[in-house]
Amino acid sequence: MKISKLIAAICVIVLCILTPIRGNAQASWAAKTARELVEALIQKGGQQGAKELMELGGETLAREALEKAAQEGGEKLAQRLATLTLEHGAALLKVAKQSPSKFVSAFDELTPAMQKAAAQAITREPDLMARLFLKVGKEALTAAAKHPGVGTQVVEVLGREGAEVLSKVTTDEAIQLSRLAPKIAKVAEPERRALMELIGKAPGKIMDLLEQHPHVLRNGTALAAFLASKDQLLDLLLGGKKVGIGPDGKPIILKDGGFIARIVGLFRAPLAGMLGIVGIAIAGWATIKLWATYRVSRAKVKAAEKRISAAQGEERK
Amino acid sequence: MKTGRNTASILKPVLFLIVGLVMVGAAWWLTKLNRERQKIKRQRQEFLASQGVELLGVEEKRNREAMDLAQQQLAAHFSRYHSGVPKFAEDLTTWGTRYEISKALLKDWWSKSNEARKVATDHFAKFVVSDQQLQEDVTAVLAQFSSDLEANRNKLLSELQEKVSTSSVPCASTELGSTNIAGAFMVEVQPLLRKQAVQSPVIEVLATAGGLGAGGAATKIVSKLLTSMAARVATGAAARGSSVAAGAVAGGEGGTLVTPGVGTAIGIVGGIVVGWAVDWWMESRFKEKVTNECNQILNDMEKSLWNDPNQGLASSFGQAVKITHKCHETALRKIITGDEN
Repeated sequence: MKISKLIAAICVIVLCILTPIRGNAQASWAAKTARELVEALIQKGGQQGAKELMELGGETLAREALEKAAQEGGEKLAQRLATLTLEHGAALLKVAKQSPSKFVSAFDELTPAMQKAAAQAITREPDLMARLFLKVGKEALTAAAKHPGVGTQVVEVLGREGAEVLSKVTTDEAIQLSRLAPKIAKVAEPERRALMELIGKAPGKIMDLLEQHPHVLRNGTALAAFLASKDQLLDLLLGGKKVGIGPDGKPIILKDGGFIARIVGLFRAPLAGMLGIVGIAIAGWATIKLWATYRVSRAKVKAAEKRISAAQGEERK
Repeated sequence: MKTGRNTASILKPVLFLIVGLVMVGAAWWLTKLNRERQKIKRQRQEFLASQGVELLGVEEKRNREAMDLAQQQLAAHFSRYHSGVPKFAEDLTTWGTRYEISKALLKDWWSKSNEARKVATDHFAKFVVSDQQLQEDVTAVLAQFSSDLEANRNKLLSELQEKVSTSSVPCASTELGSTNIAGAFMVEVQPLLRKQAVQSPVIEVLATAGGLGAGGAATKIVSKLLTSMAARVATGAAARGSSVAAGAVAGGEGGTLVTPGVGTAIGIVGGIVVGWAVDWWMESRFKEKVTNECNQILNDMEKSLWNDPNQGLASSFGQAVKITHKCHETALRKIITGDEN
């Protein structure tokens, strides 16, 4: 018993002694690799590369990122980060700095085409991408790569929920979502999550409805009713029905104007002309007819009056 | 009896008069809707003239900034190549390389081969830049620019959707407000871009999905660009007194140095280097001369790649920005006002 305790104590002491040594070795290795990386970057990019590196934080940034990588995943991770940086540009360090292991594993999971697109997005907006990666993780890279220019806008406002929806939508829909994002962000939880889930199920159709009926996002009661009837709404939308949203937030089926309405809509201008001409002709004919009737009856009245006055004159004689 | 006959004779025209007036009223109502449509059309045109033009201006500015970024990227690549020149000059003076080139020259003289140029090209590729690296770097510049244009277009559409929504001007393409403007815009703009692809190869990259893949539009553009650049570099070197380069220029496209394909770009430099080796090896300032000449060739390459008035990246990118602006303006007009022109 005593021997086992002694062995355990010795192990603890040895570990305590060796850990700082190992840590120091890692740190010095990282510092060396950082220097080498910076040199390689400067050599790769010449004066411009050095300038780019300085703009991104310079040697300090490279050292910090590689030291962190060495701490998190040892030499292998730091080497991988260095390789990725040389391949895709120094801007990657800015994003990787916070959590190199998370960044490298996320970046490695992307397809080569997506890696290129993500690196282009990082080169375009390094600060924003660093912030979004810290906040959301791999999904931020995917969103920025898949929807250049707007993916970052959505993730910035809607965070992880936005990034999740972005993985299911086309870029046209991502543009629509980027416009709705500030309004959706104002919706409180848990409604916001439910709304984002609903958008994820039929993105284009749900966002069209939200655009056409903005009161749903402004009015909490309407939104609650809208979300409560989400199953019915999805059935209607996916069933190809024309759907609107009532003032109470509940879905209503819209009816087409029917055959006559469509015909009228199609021939509005000629129909208006024809109706005007025929109407004026009929009204004119009727007016003339009435005027003639009036004239005839007036003549008859006058003749009758004449006859009466003539009869009265004869009577007086 | 008589009164009844009178009433009947009045009733008929009165009824007809009412019907006629109702018809005239209906015609007025129908034209009133048309007048409202005219009013909306005017509002749309005003929206396009103010907000639409402003958004297009912002997009063009962003695209010009993307051009600046592309120029910086190309400059960064060439700075990297320049940094390898001293090592290359150093390598040429070593006995090993001298022996290698001399042996190759002897072989060329004996068997009419092109071994010496190959050796020099390999050394240049090792220390300065290879054909493959040059092609990859130029393609990367093109890819970043293309991606930036796409990002700027998406930003334009997002901002347009916002402006349409807040101004309450229904777009002609949707009639319902601001829904799916991006989709309508893309339907309009893609055929326009495809039509313009003949004029600008960069537009072809933008118009064809996957244009940046192997064998895609981008590869063709870069190959063409590098071939044209190689001819210019040879002309420049010949003007500075390189007899080998002069031979290449005189030999034209069918000569020994200028062969079709991307291999020409660095291959021609290899040929020129062999010429220097023969001309200057015995001179005391060989290293300095090679360094200066290599730097000059790299400067010519960069200048040709960026500034060539016909195929250079500056003119191609500038043209792409202009064509994009024009196509986007036409597409915006169509989706906002419904007018073609």
